[in-house]
Amino acid sequence: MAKKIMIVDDSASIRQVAKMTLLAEGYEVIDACDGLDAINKLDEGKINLIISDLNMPNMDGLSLLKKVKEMGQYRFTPFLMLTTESGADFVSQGKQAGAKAWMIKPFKPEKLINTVSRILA
Amino acid sequence: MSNLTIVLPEVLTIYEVSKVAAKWQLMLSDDTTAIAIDLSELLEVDAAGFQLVVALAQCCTEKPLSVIGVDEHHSPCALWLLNTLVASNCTQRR
Amino acid sequence: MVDLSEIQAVFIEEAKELVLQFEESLLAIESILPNSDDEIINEAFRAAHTIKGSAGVVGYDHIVDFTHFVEATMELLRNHALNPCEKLISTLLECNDHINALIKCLESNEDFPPALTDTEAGLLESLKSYSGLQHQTSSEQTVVENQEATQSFRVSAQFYKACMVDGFDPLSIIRYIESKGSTVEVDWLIDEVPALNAVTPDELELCHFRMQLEIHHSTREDIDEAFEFIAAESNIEIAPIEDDKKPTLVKTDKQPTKNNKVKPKNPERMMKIPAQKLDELVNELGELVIVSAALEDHTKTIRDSALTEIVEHIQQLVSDVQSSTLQLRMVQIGETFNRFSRVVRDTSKELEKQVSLEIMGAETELDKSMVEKIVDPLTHLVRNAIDHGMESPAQRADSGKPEYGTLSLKAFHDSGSIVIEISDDGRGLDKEKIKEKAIQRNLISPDTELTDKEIANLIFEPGFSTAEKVSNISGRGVGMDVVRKNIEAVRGTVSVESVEHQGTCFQLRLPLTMAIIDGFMVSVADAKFVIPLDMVTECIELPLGNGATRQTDYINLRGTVLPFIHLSRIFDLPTNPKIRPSIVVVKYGQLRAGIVVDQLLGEFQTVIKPLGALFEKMSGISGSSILGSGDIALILDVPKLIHDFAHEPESRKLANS
Repeated sequence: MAKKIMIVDDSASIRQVAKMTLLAEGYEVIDACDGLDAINKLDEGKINLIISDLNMPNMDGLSLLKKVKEMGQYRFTPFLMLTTESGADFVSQGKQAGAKAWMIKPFKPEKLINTVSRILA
Repeated sequence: MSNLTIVLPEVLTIYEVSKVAAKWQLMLSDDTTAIAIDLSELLEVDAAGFQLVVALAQCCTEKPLSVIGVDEHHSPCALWLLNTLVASNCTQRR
Repeated sequence: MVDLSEIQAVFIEEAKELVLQFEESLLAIESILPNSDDEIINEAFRAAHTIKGSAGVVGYDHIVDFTHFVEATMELLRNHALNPCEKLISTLLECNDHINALIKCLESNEDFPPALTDTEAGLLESLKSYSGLQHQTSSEQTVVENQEATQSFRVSAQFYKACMVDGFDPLSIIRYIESKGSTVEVDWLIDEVPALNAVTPDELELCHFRMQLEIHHSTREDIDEAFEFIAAESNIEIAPIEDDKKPTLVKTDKQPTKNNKVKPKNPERMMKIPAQKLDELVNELGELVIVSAALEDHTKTIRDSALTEIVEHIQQLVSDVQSSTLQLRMVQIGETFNRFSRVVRDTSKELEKQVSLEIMGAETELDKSMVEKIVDPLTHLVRNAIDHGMESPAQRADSGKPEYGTLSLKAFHDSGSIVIEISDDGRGLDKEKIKEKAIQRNLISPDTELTDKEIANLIFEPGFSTAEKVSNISGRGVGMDVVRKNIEAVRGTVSVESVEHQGTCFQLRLPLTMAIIDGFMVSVADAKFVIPLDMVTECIELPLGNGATRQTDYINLRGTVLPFIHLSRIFDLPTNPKIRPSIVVVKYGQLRAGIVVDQLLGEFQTVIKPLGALFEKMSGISGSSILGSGDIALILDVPKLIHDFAHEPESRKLANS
């Protein structure tokens, strides 16, 4: 069964690249443009990994992470945070909130595949 | 003399470990002499799940654990668990 | 591999929007100096951040590298490590322009011109001076491929509770290392795992086993990477085999930054639709309108009340769908007006004038296809107002005006058109000078009497420019006549009014939609014409007697002159003396005229089909339409007709009023 990944980012370019990259690797992909959108789309079945930007309007990455952890079926879903390099402080906040991994923006598609396969290996 | 067969659930991770451990504890009795673990349903396991199975294995040092329900077409984690248990000398392959 | 060409279009569109957002935010920051607002700064930061991030994933490293410094500067502002000031904002605005230039190069697939390289270096220098940012030529993504020789390592790993709670999977770590071509031998040190029958279930949530790995043909980097995510909650000791033990991975703890509150943006869900799809839809809808009109016509001949009712219902639905669809094409003019903040700011700075911009009626809507076409003429008018219209602060003070001049952009709807007014409280038009120039250029004869308004509107005549020196801003080669041509190209009109020493007001009138028209159909001889319904005020029969004949050029309509437009003359159509003509009184702005026709055929709605190239030059026709019967009706360009054929100078007075 193909693993399902959700990508949450307010940049259409990033969503598109991530989606195409991951689809090519055989994953199923859902995308959302911010935290609120992501929550609405989470009700659509099992998701194996959530990749989310930290800086987004309406509901940012950390809030989304915390919200997801409260949702029964998704509390074990691994969370991959996207952050700027100087946002190392966010990383520790994210880890405290339960994020499993992080990646620095901007990133190349290969790095995305690499990191995702490490989490979903 | 009783043989106990324990079927591992689909998902055995840190979140299930506590409950499952309690359940298995009830299944064990003093005169359990051989335990077979059935991996045919196992789809997901993590470090905690692995540890739980090892803990189970530690119960029968006299008659080690045997593992059933696994073949080459099985889930990768079941295979891994099997091989790991074998490699750790916890079990005999059956 | 990912197809980048497909993504480029998405990126470019997104980046352009972000550049606009960034500019808006920067201008907002500037406008409240010396105060500052964290929310606006955060918005600006996010714009820069997203540009950088998006450019990064699609591989446009140049943009990434440059934007990185902009983003870093915004970050300093965000953390209050730096305070905003006018100079910094100006620099950032220039940086934003530079990013825009880079995006444009990308879009037109051009090489990066050397002039931009110098600009870039200059901008980076400026940014550096604010923040002491270090110049890096490589973004941190271009990791130098380290051809490290592979080694063997021994790894001893001990896992803490937090690690287990995160659901750690040792298998994935091992698999990752193996995927790099290394070999891994694992020893599970399980001696300390308690037996199940001797422990409480909770205890099994702690980790009692250790992992020992012997890894061959790997690099320290790969191993670090493999353990990256759990390094904080475990004790990983990595030692190259043959060497002494190396220290364990240590994670530095930093203070988390203040949680930035983000104001939720407009919660309305938006969708992006390619403009072409919308145009196609409108076109198809137009065909539907035509066909349903034919259906209605035909139904009238069949006396079937049930059928008639159904067809009426269909007509209503079609009409509703049509309105809704046309609404989709409407955008608020505020979006366009906002762009002018920058223009006003830059122009006034350059010319050392002080101008504040007022915007009214930003919610007024107009057809999207119209927007792009009016930006250039609007820009010209705005620059012109600041350049020629506005006096310098000193001059204004002398004449008792406030030093700050006001330029206002106003938009509103008026009888089927959208009106845009650009007014200033500057020096106004010098009517004497204009008149002189016009005589000089042979545009009018010396003894012509003109109203003030007519004199003012002379500036739109080709070849007219009273500027003493052709300034960089508004003079060179671009005159008011070009502005007028641009506006007329979208079936609009432009006019000007001015009071000397007080100010000037340019008024643009534009049709609300360019696609479908509610019209009034008329015929002259065999030809059918459509007159835009929103310009029709009344229909009357040609009053014979009072000396009025078919040849009359005007009548007295309730005390005012109503000039005639004889379609038969204009379009060279035969007249039939047996038919008593009718007059359709039309109004456009302040002007009125009576269109003389043979028959009135009633209200009629139709899609405007543009004229082919052959007929585009035809004066007085703005489009054509296909009738249900298959005939063609020509849509009259009323403003043009009024202007060309019925524009009566006030000097022509009535014999008796």
